Amino acid sequence: MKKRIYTTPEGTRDELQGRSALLRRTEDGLLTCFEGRGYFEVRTPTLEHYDVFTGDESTLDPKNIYKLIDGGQILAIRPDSTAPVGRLASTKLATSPLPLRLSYCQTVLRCGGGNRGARTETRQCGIELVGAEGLWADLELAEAALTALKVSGLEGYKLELGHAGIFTGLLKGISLDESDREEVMRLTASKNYSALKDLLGNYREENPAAVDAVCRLPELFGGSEVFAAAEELISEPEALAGVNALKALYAELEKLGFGDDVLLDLGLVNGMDYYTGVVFGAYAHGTGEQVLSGGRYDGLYKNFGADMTASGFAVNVDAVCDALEKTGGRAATPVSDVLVCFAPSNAGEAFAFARELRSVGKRVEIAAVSGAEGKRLAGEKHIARWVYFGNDSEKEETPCE
Amino acid sequence: MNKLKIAITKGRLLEKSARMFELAGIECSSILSPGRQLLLPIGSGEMEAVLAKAPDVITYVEHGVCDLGIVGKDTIIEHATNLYEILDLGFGRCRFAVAGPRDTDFFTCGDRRVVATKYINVSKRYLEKKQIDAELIKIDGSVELAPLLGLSDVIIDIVETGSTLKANGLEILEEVCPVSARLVVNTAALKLRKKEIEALVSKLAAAAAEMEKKK
Repeated sequence: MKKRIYTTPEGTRDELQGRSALLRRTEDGLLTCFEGRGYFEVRTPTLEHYDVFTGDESTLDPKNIYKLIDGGQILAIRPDSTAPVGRLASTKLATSPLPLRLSYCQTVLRCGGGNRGARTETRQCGIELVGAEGLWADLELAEAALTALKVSGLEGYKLELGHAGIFTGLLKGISLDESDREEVMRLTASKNYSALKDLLGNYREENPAAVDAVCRLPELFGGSEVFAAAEELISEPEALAGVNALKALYAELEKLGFGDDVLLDLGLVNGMDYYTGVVFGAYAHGTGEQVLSGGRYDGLYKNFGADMTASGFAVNVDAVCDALEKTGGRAATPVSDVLVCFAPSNAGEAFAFARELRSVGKRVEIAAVSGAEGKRLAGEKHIARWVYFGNDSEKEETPCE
Repeated sequence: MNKLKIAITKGRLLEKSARMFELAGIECSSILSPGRQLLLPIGSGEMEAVLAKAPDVITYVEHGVCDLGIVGKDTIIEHATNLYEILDLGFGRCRFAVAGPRDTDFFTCGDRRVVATKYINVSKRYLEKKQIDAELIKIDGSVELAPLLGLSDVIIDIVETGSTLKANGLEILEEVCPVSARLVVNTAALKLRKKEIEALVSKLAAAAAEMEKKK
C-alpha cells in the first residue's frame, strides 16, 4: 500500500513560522489578559475517560468525539476543555476557596468535519469562573471576553449576549414532546421563522402567549431595543427573569463603555440544555466562524459530584488568527536580525559576539562559512545585517541597520 | 465595508431567483448572461452575486465568504448546515420521495432492502425514523436507473413533476418531505451587517410573496 507520508489528515494542518508566531502572540495576549484578572492556567490531559464528556449536561454529539480503547476502557481525545477543567476543579481543587478562577490554552479535537474545510483540531484559550453567580459574576466574564477580543487585535468584533432562561422558560408553558422540542430548538437556532410558526401553530391553542413569544424570539436580536419588544411579548416569570438579567448586564456594560461592542440575541438557543443562564458568542470581520463562545452552565459540575456553579468562555484562537490574517494580511515569516559567520579559528569570538547581541534581544544566526558565502546567505534569508570573523580577526560587515 | 455577496444556485433555481430580484427592484441581468465573469455585480453595484452548484452555495455561506445564499431545502437537509435559514422563497417547489416499481413491498418486507440515492444523509435519517434497516447506495446521476437495472429496490430522490418516474414505470411510494428554495444567511454576517441584510431580506420576502400570488 502506498504510504501517506506527505500530507496531514483531513481537518488538521501544519502551521508555518509566520502563522505560528501569530498564534503564539495571540495566545500569550489572551493568557496575559486572563492572568491580569486572577485567572491562572491549568492543563488537562489530551486523553480523558470518555465518560467525562457524556454526562446529562453535555452539548457534544458523541459521534464527533474521537474514541480510543485502551485495556478495555473507552478513552476520548479531548473534544472540549470545559468538562475536563470542571472535573479538575471538582476533584483536585474541591477545597480551594471560592470563587475559583482558572484559565486554559489547549487544543480540542472533534471528528466528522468531512471535506468542508472544518477543523478537527482547534486551539482554545479560555477561562472558567467557578462558584460565583449573579450580575457581578456575569459582568466579570463579559468584561473579560470583551477585553480578550480587544487585545486580540480583531476588527469590527461584537460580543453577543443571550440568556438560556428565556427560551427554557417559555417552553415550559408549551407541552411539546421530545422530538418537537428538539425541532423547535433547531428552528429557533437557525432563525427559520416560517417553519417555526408552522410547527408551533399546532400548540397555539394551549398557550397563545408563549407560542407567539417563541415564534418572535429569532427576530429579537440587535441593540437595546430588543428589551422593549421582549417585555411586551414575554410574561412567563422565568423567561422574564432571563430578560431582566440580560438587561441589567447590558446596562452595566454600557456604563463600562462597551455599549457599541455588544449585541443581543434573545433567540440564541444553541446548547440550551447545557446553558443555564447568560450565553455568549462573538463575531469579527474576516471570519464567518464564532471567535468566542461560552456562558453559564450551573448544572455541569454535578456530573463530577460537586455542587458548584460555573461559567466561562473559550476564544477560538484559530478563528481569531484567520480573521487577523484576512483583515491585516498574511502573517509574515519571521527573520533573524543578524547572521554571524566565522572561520574555524574564530569560532570563540563569533559565539561571544552572538551572545552579546542576543543579550540585548537580537535574533542571531550562526554559520561557519566564508565572508562571501555569508553575504550570499544573508541575502537569501533576508537577514538585514551580517558579520564575519575571519582568520586575521578582522570583522567585515554590512552597514549597521 | 465590503459589498454584500450572495451565492445563487445554478440551474433550476436561477431563473426564478432572477425574477425575484427584478420584482424586488434589484438589477440582475448579469446573472442571466454571466459570460466568463465569476463575480457578478447586481443592484446598483452595492452587491455581488456568484453562481454555484447547490452544495457549494452552502459551503461559501457557511465559511462566510458569501453573506447570503439561495439554495434548495434538499441541499440544506442533506448537508446539516450551520447557517440561518431565514426565508422560504416559495419557488422551486418539489418533494423528497421514496419511489419504486408499482407494488414494491418496501415498507413491510423484513428482508434485505436496497435504496439508491444521491442524498445519503436525508435517506439515512428517513430510514432511521421509519426504523427500516436498508442498504444505501450512492448514485450521482440519474437515480431512476438503479431500480430499472436491478441495483436497488427503491430510490429516494427529489421529485418535481413525477414525469421521469412515470416514463420509467416508477411511482411514488411515500413522500418524505417537501422542498423549496430558501434564503440562507451566514450567522456572523447577519449579526455584523444586520441593517443591510434585513433591508434586503424584507425586499426579497415581498418579491417572493408576489411571485407566489401570481402563480
